[in-house]
Amino acid sequence: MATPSEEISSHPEFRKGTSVAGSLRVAFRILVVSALILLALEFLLFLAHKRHGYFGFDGWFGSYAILGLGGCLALMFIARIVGAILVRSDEKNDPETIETWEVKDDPDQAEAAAP
Amino acid sequence: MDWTTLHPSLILLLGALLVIFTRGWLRSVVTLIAPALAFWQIVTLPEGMHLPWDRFADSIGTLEWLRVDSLSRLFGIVFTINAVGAFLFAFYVKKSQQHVAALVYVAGAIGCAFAGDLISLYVFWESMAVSSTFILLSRQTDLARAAAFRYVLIHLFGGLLFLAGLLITVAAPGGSIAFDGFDFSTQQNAGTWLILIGMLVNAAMPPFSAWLSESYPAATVTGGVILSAYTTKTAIYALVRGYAGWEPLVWIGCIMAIGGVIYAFLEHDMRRILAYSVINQLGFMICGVGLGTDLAINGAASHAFACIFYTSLLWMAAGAVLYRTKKSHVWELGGVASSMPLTAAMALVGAFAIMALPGFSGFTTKTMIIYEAHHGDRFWPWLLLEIASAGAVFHAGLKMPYLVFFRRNKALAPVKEAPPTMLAAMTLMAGLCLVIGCVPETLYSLLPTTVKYQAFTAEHVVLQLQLLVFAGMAFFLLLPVFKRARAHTVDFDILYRRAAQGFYAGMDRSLNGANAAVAAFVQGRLVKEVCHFFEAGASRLACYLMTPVWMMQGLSRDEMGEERARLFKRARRGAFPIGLTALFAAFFLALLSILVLIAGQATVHAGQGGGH
Repeated sequence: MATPSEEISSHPEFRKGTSVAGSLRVAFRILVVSALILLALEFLLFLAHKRHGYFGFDGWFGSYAILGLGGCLALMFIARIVGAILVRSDEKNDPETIETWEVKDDPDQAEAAAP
Repeated sequence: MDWTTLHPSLILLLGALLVIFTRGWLRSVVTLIAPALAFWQIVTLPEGMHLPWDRFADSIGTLEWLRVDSLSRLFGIVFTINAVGAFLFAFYVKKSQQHVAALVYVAGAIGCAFAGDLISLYVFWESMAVSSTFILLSRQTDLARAAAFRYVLIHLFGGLLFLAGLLITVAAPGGSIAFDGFDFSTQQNAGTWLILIGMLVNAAMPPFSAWLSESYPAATVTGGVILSAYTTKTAIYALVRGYAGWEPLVWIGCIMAIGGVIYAFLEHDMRRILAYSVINQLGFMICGVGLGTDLAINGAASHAFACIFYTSLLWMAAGAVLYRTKKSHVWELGGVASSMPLTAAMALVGAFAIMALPGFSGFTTKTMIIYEAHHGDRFWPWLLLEIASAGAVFHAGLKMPYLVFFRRNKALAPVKEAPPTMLAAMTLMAGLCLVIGCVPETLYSLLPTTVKYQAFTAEHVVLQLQLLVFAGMAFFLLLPVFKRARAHTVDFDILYRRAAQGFYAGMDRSLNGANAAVAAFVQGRLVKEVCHFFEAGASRLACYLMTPVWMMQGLSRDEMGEERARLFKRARRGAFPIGLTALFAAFFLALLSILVLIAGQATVHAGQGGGH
């Protein structure tokens, strides 16, 4: 089974890269390095007794990292369950909804001369 | 006239009037000058000023349409600055309808912020509902008309709740129209709850939240920018003023913060993603109001202030992309940053602000609310707000900017950069996001109470960055599961849409069913029977009348049958001998004369009785 890193590397977006921001691989590596630095800084806060907790969990080392990563993964998981029930496809018809995507007759634009 | 006490809303209303009588670039200049003057007036209004309307003074209080304190001034300032930015963004719009509606809308929001009593608040509140509907209608598409129809219905419903609550509150013993704040422990009653629900409808509380995600993306490019700032933030102002410390708001806020994120995950339209991120941010503010401490209230007010700027900035960036590419679906966009680098940079500033990156406005305001939940020993609100904060990084901070600006998409043709006025407006908003983020004291000095909060401590900065960076990693880890789709998400509006459809179907079946049954009875049976009666009834009656005569003549049963058949046939045809006809005529004339005489006598007796 592929690791998350390999999965990301094999994703088409990764191979293509982006036109402005460089490749996603670089961005992900920057994030990983930043995460390590921040964990080290948190460790220094512990050493300097500047790290406080009020409920127990919030005082653990890396608790905010868990909240950031785990919270997003949990939300995405819930979103996919909710999405299975609530998302409706517009592929076939429903011109009313499609109209939201393309401004065909925006009176602002009809009036405006392109600067 | 004392110009120092001029209501700022009047300046905007005068501006709306001038817009009607001006043309071209002068009209756009008027839309910029009016909020700028209103801003100046708000800044110079003396603190503690009250301008009551004594003509309506009563035992229930005085109409006070201009009350100046730090909270009202705070919201007045942000409303007018944002209006300057929004009208600068909309400088190219030449039609007057949207400008007039927008100026009246902003005037209503400022009127709410400065209203000192519930009646003034209600009047300005409703003026906002009506004027914002016209902003939506100025898109002039079927979708916008449908959205505007549902928008005004839900807001009028909220307004009616507000009005009912107002009347109950005022009618109660010792009731007053003063709008000073309701105490959760002593002032819970039907009136205060109805007013609260009315306000929460405007704050997009579920299940009344669908109006926001439906209507704002249905507006014009510039209409969306204007709408995104006022209705919900005016509701936040009213909640801060009236409902600080109401415990249910803590949980309503948490639900909105989490629910907004989940819905934003599922959306593929950039303006609908932003609409749900507005709901997410409103959740933080409402939670802060519910917490009710000085710091939490400062947090809610300051976050509303900061949120208006970065929300406007993101809506402007999305609007500029929409303006140039004519597309709003994130999977049809991508790589826009190479064509519109300045717009992309502005969008990133807005994204960093909404994700509360240190140095940007969200960090110095949103964290105040989370900090108060944390230090106030409120575990679940703290946990949910932290998770919602991480979620905001995911959808508004990374998903929308990445998919719109940085994802490679060869199918999208290169476009021009946004027009200069749009860029200028975005620069103004981005600058404000940076100022509030880097020098928060500029905002803290405007807040209702002294702020005892240090945003830039080592612990805050490190932990916030940790939350953001790991949420960012979650985004990259989940990138492979993103799906291209043309789809929309069903919101709470499905409940009342289905309920309305059910009501319509029920009425259709019951009333139209009753109508059809009555029609079938009248047309199918009653009319037929009546026709038959008038066709054959007289002949049959004649037969019945003649039966005793025939019996006296001693006719047998068979002979009577033959006579009856003959008479019936004659009567149907009307073919009686002339003598018999004359006899009938004489008989009926005599009968008529007798009836007339009896009626005349009865009238005379009645007249005599009345005289006595």
